[in-house]
Amino acid sequence: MMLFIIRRLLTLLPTLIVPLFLVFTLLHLSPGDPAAVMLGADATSQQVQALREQLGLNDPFLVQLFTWVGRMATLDLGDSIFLRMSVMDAILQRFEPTIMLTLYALTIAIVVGMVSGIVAAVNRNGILDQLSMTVAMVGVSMPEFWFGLMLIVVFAVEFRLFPVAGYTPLDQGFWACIWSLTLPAVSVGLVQAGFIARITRSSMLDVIGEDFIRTARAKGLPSPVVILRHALKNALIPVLTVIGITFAVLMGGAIAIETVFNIPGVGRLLVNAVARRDYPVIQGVVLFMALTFVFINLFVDILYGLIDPRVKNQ
Amino acid sequence: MSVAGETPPMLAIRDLELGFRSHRGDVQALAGVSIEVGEREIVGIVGESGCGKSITALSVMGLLPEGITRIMGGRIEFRGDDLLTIPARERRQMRGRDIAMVFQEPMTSLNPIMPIGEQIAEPIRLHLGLRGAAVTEHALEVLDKVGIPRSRNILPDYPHQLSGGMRQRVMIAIALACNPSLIIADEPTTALDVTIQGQILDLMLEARDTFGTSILFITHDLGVVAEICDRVVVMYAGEVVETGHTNDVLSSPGHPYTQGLMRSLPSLDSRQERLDTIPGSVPALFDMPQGCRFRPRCPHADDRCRRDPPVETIGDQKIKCWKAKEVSEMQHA
Repeated sequence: MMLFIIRRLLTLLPTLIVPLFLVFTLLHLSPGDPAAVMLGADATSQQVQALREQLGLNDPFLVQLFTWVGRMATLDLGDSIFLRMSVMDAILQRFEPTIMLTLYALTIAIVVGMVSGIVAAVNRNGILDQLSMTVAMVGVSMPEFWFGLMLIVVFAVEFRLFPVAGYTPLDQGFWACIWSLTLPAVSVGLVQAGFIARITRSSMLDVIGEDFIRTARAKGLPSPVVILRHALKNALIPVLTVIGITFAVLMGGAIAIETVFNIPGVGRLLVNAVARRDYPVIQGVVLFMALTFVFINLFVDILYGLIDPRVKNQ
Repeated sequence: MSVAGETPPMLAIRDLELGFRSHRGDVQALAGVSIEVGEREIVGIVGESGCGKSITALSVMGLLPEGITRIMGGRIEFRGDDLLTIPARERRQMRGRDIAMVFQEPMTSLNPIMPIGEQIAEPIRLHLGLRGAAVTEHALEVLDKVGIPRSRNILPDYPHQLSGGMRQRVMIAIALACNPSLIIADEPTTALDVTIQGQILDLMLEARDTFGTSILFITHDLGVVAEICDRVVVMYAGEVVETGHTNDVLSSPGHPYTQGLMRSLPSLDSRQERLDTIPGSVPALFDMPQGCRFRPRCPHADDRCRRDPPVETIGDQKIKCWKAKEVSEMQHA
């Protein structure tokens, strides 16, 4: 198992280098001079030149690239141009709302998605199947921000059950925090549940047709045992893949939902940084997202190995 | 439902009729199949693919694919009780405990991500009520019986770590785990190497001899039938066309179809250029010929065969053919 994890870790390095290079290059090809933006409209061209020199923006492209990668390697993400703090601090400050929203939404997505997927597969072509697949279809087709707005109108404005917007930090109490995140988590979670339900259903149907399920029934095992113990565990790998992707996407900031609900998360940080051409922050956040993706994938790979003994030996 | 004073047979399938639902409407897959298996008896069902032998086995297990099959008539009596009328829950509890099944594909019939030990332990815990170390002990004993000795403890292994022959032994161990009265084996040797086939057949014989298990053995291989079956049932297109003691049926097959099957076997002492084959192929379910279903392929067919043939009894053999007597006399002449 250790060997398996180490092997996976080594394959991560190239996965990280590619996004690093792309982010750096893209930003330098896009129009707009960060030095000019920082100094504002009144700045003289001498001032702009001086700042460009100071920021190293006049150095050759490759020199800039390697200095930057070198700094990244020591986890020094640089300072924000506008926020008067280091990029690392800016991300850490925005990290809590994002991770809380992600975990909450993911829990909703997994529970709702997997349960309805299993129920649909077991009652194939029955009423429950058609009902849950229709709901899932509506779920995946619905824009999250619109669903979020509808939830606000109904549950915050009309019934006053939840706050309209905003985020209560964890240090003011776990339940208060959960409370403030319920509407955004439900709007993101239910949409993602649609994806998980559909993949769970199709994966379960594949497995239920397998010979070993017939063997399990021939042993006289009750249906729930056959479905949960034999079928579900075998059907889990594609489901885990989708859950991993959902997790990574949510961590990258549910940008629209953070805006609708005014949650100060990583997604909002990125949007603001792009609007102001805050290069270091953009690079830092994208690097952070890439890292998140990579580590979630590593985690999912390890889970594969734990579920299916054949994966480890490949 | 047995006659007083007479023990009912272990298994008696009586006039079983079964239909498939298809886009062309319901079609008949089994047209009144009757098969008996006695105590300690090994009965073989032979026939080409699609003749209904596997679906017969699944009906006995109660594992017919849901939604697309429907039992339209007949009875399946297990020790006199009609399995088709007992409650589903009771039926389920009989599986693995009273009637167990060994399947054709040992490669896919075991759960790929569950250790072998756990797969054997499941029916032991469920039906025998054992717990903890007693379960492992019992599992090891069963594995011992199927020729996997304790020195080769495979309990923590996964199916992909075992060879095909070993996996089939594990499947048989699972079937034998709760000492069932009847084992249904659906082509258990077809997917295996010839050398391994022999070992698996010996194992089935041993199971009968030591535990008194009755076995319903489904195969398309007459060689296998000759080796282990006491009696044989020949099926064609959803019907039983001939039954009898293995020796009788194989030495003097009464039905033209059985004769065709025998002629298409390779033999060591005759140096034929090519093997005989039965011309034509099994009729489609939705396009069954009137009268005798073998008529379009039968070398002896005449006008009589357009009507449903009677079942003739010659000695111990039962043959569903108009010409059974003539054909048998021709053979002995």
